[in-house]
Amino acid sequence: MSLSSSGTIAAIATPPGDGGVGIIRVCGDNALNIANAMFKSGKESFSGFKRYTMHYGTLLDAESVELDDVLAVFMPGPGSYTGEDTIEFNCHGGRAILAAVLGEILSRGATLARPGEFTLRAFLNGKMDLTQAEAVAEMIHAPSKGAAQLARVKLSGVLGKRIEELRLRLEELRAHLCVAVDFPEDELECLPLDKMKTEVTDAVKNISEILAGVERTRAWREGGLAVLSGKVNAGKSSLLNALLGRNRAIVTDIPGTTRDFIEETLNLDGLQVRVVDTAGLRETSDKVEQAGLDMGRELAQQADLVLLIIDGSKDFEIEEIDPEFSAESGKCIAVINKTDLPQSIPSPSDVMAQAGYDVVEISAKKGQGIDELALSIRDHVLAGAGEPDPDELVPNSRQAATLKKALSELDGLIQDIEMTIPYDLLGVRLESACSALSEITGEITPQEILDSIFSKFCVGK
Amino acid sequence: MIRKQPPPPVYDLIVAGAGHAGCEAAMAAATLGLKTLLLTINVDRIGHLSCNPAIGGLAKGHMVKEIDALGGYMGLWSDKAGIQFRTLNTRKGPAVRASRAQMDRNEYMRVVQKDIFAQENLWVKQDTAETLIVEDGRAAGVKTSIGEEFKSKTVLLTTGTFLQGLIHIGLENFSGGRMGDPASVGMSASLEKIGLTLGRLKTGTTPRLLKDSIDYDQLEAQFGDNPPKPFSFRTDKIMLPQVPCHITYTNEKTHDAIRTGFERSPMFTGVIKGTGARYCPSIEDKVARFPEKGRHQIFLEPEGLESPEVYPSGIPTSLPLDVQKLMINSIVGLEDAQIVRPGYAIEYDFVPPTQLLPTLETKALPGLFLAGQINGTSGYEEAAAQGLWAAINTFCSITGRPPFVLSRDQAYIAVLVDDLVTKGTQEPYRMFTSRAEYRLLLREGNADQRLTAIGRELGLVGDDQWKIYSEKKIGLDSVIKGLNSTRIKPDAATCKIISEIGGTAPGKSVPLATLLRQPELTINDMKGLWSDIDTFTDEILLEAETQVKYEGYLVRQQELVDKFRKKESVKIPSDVNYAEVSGLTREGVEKLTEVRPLTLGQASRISGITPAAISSIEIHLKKIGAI
Repeated sequence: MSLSSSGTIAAIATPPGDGGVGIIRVCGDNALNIANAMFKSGKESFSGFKRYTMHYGTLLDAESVELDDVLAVFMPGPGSYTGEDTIEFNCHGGRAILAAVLGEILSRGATLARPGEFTLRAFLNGKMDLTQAEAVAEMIHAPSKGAAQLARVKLSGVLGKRIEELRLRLEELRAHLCVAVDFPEDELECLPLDKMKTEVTDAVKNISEILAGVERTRAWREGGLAVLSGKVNAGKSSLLNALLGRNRAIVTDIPGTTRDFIEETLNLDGLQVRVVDTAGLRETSDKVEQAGLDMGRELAQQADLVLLIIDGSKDFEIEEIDPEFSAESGKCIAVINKTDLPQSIPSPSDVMAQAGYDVVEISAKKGQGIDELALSIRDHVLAGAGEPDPDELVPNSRQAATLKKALSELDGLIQDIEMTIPYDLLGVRLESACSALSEITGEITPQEILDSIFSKFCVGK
Repeated sequence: MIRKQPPPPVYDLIVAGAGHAGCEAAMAAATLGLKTLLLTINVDRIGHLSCNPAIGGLAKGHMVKEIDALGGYMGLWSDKAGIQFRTLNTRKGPAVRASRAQMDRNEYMRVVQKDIFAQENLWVKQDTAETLIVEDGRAAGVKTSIGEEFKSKTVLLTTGTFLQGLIHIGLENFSGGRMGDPASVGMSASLEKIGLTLGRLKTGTTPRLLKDSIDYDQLEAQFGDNPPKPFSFRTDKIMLPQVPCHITYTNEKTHDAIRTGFERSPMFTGVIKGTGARYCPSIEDKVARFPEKGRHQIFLEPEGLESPEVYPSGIPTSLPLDVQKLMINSIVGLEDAQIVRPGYAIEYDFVPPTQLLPTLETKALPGLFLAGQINGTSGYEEAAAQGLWAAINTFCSITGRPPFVLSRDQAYIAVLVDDLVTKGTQEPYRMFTSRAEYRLLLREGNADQRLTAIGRELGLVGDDQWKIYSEKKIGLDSVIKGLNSTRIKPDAATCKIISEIGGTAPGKSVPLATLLRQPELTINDMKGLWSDIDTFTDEILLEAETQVKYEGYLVRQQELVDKFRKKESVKIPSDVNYAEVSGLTREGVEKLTEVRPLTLGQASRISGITPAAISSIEIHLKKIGAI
């Protein structure tokens, strides 16, 4: 990784997805030059960027084609976030627009910023103190110890206490193992294996409970994933546009228009749901399209919810539905589209209802039934999770991953104990589990273990 | 013709102190061809076991084997003077089996002195190093208490408890390096003069009892293993007769007696300022801290085959002599026991070891090396290990070789040195298996496989040792290969054998290795299934068993080592100015500047250095183009 501060970097600074405004940040020696070359002010009197002033204007590409109307602001170094010359363009929020603007900036000599690189520059330029530097460490090394330290700082309250208690109990087991091994001639009762097993089993139960909370609230924290699935031209793209309330996907009457995924995030009364429009399902010889289809199936398997889009005006047979998306799978909603047109007989709506699916009738084109569908999506994704409990502290996904690692080590340890393998080998799993937990709570050093031994056991000759 | 040549005008190395660090260092340096002078306060006490008459134990036995594997002497000497050998922790796992042996104290000194005086390139003088000679900013020799000057290219201080040693018995105290020997009073000032900071530690020892005044009829005897297993990979057979230890216990009466002495205890009254080791607490400390414990175990260790004295291990004390007597005579079997030498505590100066480089050379004065208790450790084995390490590094320094610094996954010795120079120590440092993250890989049984090739390359391992090592390696390889390639079919005869040895017959043909992994089976159980096993030594079979049976665990640990090695490979230039590293706290800058870590890995082990600080250093190193 090059850490030279001389290069100019650029990136979209706002989160991907739905948003009215998207910000592109350009930072480095060449930022102002690039801005001057691309920006055409809306004012006749414009005589260059003034610091910390919003300028209204248009961004042009090299062929003077207008890319977007923007607000631009110039923050000269060292007074900027990174300490270097920085330009920010407030563009319209669409992904295609942002991509076009960013592409133009990159073609003018900037390089794409890597995750965390703006912050890294801020750090290198002395714009940050140690606390903030720890965040940098997390970005550079996550999920290493750096991330752990940050997590420790962030971790608080009920959850922190609970994990700390777990850690202390496991540490105690470690101390017992160490005493058994390091002081063989002292008259110390070794921790009996069945007692140890009880302790570990209890720790496993504790971690499982914490992780259950993660599962319960996952939808709220991470949002859900809904996949639109259906035959070519059933109206998937139109439905997505209807849900978003604006035109995004390229909608045409030519079957197979949607080749790539189009992903948008819906905010359904506080619940984030990513909706992915996959390529229309049909046998195809087009390799690109075929690849898209395969990926679509894979995505649908991972999804919390699959919206089976069926054109109500066309003949339909239940066999058309992939057996994977049966009513019993519990993750499908049958969406009968084009109800503004005469419906085929027998009506696909009835067919699906009889097969046991939840059915929602809509007309994407006319905007009918969309609210009802949105409600139905929300209910499905939450799937009984209920509304969020503001008092429940659950680990974030990285902490959860760490807890899962500790859990699997402890499960292994229980097996080791059952096999009555020797003490020093039991230590392997136990230490791995502790080391996983220490990524959340901070390092447990051998010295701490020894301290624990000397405070609790009368050892030594 | 004389056998010993006259000493050179300028030595390569002067070793001051002839305890376990000094003797190991002197032998290694001389073996490597360095003209070496060994200075001692008392020639008769060269190689003296000042405390327990025992060598080895948990993690310590490991270090003795490592010293031996590198071509050192402690293992050989112990085997020659050992009068009881035991393997500890036989059922607690392959990595924590450890050897321990009782020594005949006088015999140990005799065998050490014999080798020391016979060693080529090594000269011995009875004199006390008092002042360092410094020339051109380097250590250049020592001046002695009787005014002699010895010149050298490097100096190694292995002064043990002798620096400003102060002996306490009750509230009485007097100067001494060990009971019966004078302290070294000048060297501390000389060390401070070159810019080293000194600290103060304390250790203690037990009263020695008259053997003929102990009533052994009341006591339980503890015998060693039969046959005794030697420390050294080079020792064929233990020659001395083997004798038992005896076990007795303190009781409430003993504890009451001890309590009557609390107000005259130099420890409890604050007369002793130095920090003692928590793992080696005095008996008064144990009684005060664990009042609920009704008894404490005492091992009565013979001082030697002919010795009239016995060492009651487990009751080090600095209580007044009248209390020591009361305490001893309250113990079963010791009702009429007479104290020959009183127990005592000793305080001494040490050099907090973060002032050392990982070579054990002081940062303050190039050419000056320190090893043993002067670095804040305790224990003969810890001392010997450092002596060897330091001697090898003087050799590397003089001959322009790269420093000899093993990694924490290679040896306990490396864990010891890394802990000392990186973390320092607040109390006398003792090795424990729990200090070694990769202890599964650091077994006694594979010390030779880990280190002998390294010792050979340095020039410490002679032809005989190399032959023994190579033959064992060939044997080990063929057993492991055999276990993996010899397949057994679950026919009636085989199943019968397997059920007889307590195993579970496999459903299909499997290699012996798979069968051996069943928890209840050992390599000896395989004899009925693979006759070749009888052709290998027990030593080879045990090591092969460990490698095969616990392969999965060893592989896991090796994966951790690979991760650890990555950070270890990032070198930090010695001239890095930590004040210029943005994002470090002042405390971080101070600690890093003090320790001056050689690698990013070492930096990360400094107490109080956060992962964020490590990232800051890493970024700085990239910024200045160092990595």
